[in-house]
Parts: sequence; C-alpha cells; structure tokens
Amino acid sequence: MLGKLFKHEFRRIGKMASLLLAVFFGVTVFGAIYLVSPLFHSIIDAGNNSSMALTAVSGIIALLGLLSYMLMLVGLSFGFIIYLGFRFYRSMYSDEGYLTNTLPVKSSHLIIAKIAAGGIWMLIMTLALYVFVGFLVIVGYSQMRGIGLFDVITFFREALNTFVELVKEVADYDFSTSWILLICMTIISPFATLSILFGSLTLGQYSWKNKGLMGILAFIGVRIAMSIFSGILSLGITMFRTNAGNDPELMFMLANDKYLVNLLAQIIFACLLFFWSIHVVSDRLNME
Amino acid sequence: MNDLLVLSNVSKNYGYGKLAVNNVSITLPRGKIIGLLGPNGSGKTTMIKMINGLLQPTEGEIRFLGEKIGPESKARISYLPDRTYLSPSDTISSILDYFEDFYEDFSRERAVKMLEDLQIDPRAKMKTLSKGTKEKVQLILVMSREADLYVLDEPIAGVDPAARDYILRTILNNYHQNASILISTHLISDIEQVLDEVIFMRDGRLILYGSAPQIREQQGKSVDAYFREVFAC
Repeated sequence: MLGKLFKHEFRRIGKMASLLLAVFFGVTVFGAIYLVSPLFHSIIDAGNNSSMALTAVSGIIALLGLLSYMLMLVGLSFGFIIYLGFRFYRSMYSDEGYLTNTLPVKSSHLIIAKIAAGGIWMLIMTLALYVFVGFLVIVGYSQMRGIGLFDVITFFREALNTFVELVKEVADYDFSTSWILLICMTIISPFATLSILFGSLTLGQYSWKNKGLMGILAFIGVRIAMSIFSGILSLGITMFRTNAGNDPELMFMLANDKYLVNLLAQIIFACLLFFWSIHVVSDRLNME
Repeated sequence: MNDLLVLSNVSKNYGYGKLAVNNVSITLPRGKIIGLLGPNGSGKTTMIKMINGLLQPTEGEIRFLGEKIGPESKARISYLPDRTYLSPSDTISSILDYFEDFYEDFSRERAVKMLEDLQIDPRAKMKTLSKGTKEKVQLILVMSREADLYVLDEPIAGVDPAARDYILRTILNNYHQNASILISTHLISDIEQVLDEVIFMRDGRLILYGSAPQIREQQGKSVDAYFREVFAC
C-alpha cells in the first residue's frame, strides 16, 4: 500500500512540479537568449568603452537582471513548498482528508508517502535549479569574455582546483568534508523540511479553532526553536574550537561545523515531528 | 460472527463543555438496514466519524468484527461522508483508479455501469459537476464496494426527489445480504420503508434502538410520525 500511496502522491504533486520546472526552464532560456542578444552586448560594450558612469550603469543593469532571475527562482521554490504544505493540509485535515484517513492503510504510510513524494520532487527541483543557474552563469561569462562555453567550464574548473590547492597549502584544509556535507544537506534537506512542515501543520490540529492558521504559527515556532537550538550548539562548538587553538584551518572548520549543526538540527526536529504526526493521525485524529 | 459493530460506553467531548456523544453502547448486527435518526446536533455525524476513525472517542471503545478501528476495519467499511471528499481537479476516471488501487472489494465494472445509467461521463472533472452529481458520484463509489458495513451520512439530503429514488434504489440493489447499512438522515419518510431497525439520538444520547416494524406496531404509527412526536419542538 505504501507504494500505491507514493505513486498517487508523486503523480499529483508532479503536475504542479512539472509546471514550475517548465517555468524555471522558460525563464532560463529567456535569460540565455538575453545574454547572447545584441542588447546585452551593447551594455557590455558601453561598460568597456565608455566613462565610469556608464560602466556603473551597465554593471547595475546586469546585476539587476541576475538578481531578479535569482529572486524568481527562490520565489518559485518557496511557492512550491507552500503548495506542498497546502496540499498536505487539504488532503489530510480538510474535506479530502475524509477519503485519505479512511483508506485501509497505516497512518505512518500516509505520512511517509507524502514526505517521500514531495521530498523527491523538491530534490529534483533543487538539482534543476543548480543546473539552470550554472548554465546561465556559464553563458553570461562566455558572452562577457567572448570565449566558448566549454572554455568557461574549463576556466571555472581550473579556478576551483587552484582555490582548493591554495587552501590546502596555506591552511592545510581538505575540502572533502565540506563536499560531503553539501551533498548530505542537498539530499536530506527537502525531506527534513517537509517532515517539519507537515508535523507543524499537524500540531495545529490540537487547536479548537483556526487549525490551519495555528499550523502555520506552529511552523514559525518550530523554525525559531530550531534556530535557537542550532545557535546554542554552534556557539558551544565555536568556543570549544577557539579554545583548542587558532589554526589557519579554523575558519573552514567553523563553516563546516555550522553546516553540520544545521543538518543535525534539521534531522532531530524532522524525526521528532515525523513521529508526532504519525501519533496524531493514528491515535489523536479529530477531523473538523 | 453476527455482531458487526460494537460501541461500548462511547463518549465524545469536543472540549467546550458539551458532550457530542454521551455514553452510547450499541451493537449492530449483520444483514440489516439501520436508520440513524435524530435532529441537528444530536451526535449522529460525530458517532459516524468515530466509527470511521476520523474522530477518537474521549471515552469508551469501538470494535468492528472484534477489532479496534484501523486499516483492517477501513478495508471493510464503506463510508459516505456528508461532504464532497474528492479533489475538484480529479477526473472521475482517475478516482476510479484510486478506489481500485486501495479497496480490494471495489468493483470498477459496477461503478462504470452506474455512471452510464446516470449518463455521467467518467472523463469529466469533479469541479465541472453539479453538487447533486458530485453526491451521486460519491454514492456510486461507496456502493461499488463489496463491504461488510456501509455508513452513509445524509446520502439524500442535497438531491432532488427523483435522484433520491435513484439513490435509494442504488443502495438497495448494491449491498449484499450479509452486509449492513447504517444510514443517517432527517428525511425519514423517504427511507422508512427500507429500514429494518432505527436508532433515535438526542443531545448525544441513544434514546431508542429497535426494529422499525415493531415500533410501527407498538406505537400504531409510522416511524416518521413517531419521530416527529418524540422530537417535537
């Protein structure tokens, strides 16, 4: 039954996710066309050949373009999370919940299927976002420098390698831990975020009135609690690290610690709220 | 086992003082059509929701075929709520897929036949249907299951008299004789002739549970007339 629940949930979310991915893709293609267009070249030329004032203006225009693109992507990503929260609430605790909660399935399977399906779509969208942004940066740099796309990729790869080697030489720091943390964060974060969001909306079920609103407030409260928890933990680790010595690699280690603490906080809160949701749906369900 | 559903000292308190269901004990047998009757706010819907696991009793216990309410009971109880519980963006056909996937006792052929009888296009989206047609689609889904217990919350409240006849015929023609139907309604006169037993509820309390023919015989009047007498304002 878990497989069937996942299949239906994945399909339903897929409709909205595909639409958003199409918008991501459309905006990226539009951005790439703009970057190879004579308009963008005229801005670059104006910046290169004219006065300081014109250089600044062309720089601001390019920056604003990039900024609005990034804002749009971030907005769409947040919009998708809001959609998932809304869908969860509607299918579990609103009218559609009368069907969902009378299906002959375990309550834990209902929650797992929703987190898994939503999380996989969020992961796909995050990866798509990395690819689209990376693509635009490469196209933009290629146009600004007048070099080919593959040359840009080579340039960035070499620059990254040089940076990594430099850090290793100066600070004796290996980036492998950072990469592992980044990958873990990318994979775990969507599922943890949804577990926290769905758990918070479930917390709202304890209210007699305005259960949806109370769920949103519970989510804000949980996020604040998470920030306090990771803040305290980070502070303790920072104090421990700085007391232990002031190595050149300290800056990178502290950055890793911050990642690790955030990851840990996400996992702990996600697990707590996941089991809480299962408990409520199986033993404390009170549909309006 | 002849006892299908057993409620033992079941109460439900929503938390603002009043008990929605107050210490109800009742045993529903197999093979009966049972009317759950009472005025608004008498606790009918609360009781139905508890039977389906949508509400948890504050006190007492509900057992279906000897088991607590859970996935096993949900696989054997077919529930029609008093609201539209289908997604507006879904087509009827995709809803049939959904029911077929989750309910082993669901008969797609029976559902398609009933949809044809009512000239409802399975390709139509729920949001394009009228309120009455949505209710009919839900009833078709519920009655296309080979369940042990059908729990119908106000199935004829929002439809015209012609549709009521169809709905009642659908209910009667589609349940097997070993199953029971618990049907909640205000419109007693429309269903009185098909009821084997009746439950009267008032202010969350069970005030009468008996055989419909017996009530007619003892009281010398129809169940509908007796209901009006008992619940006269």
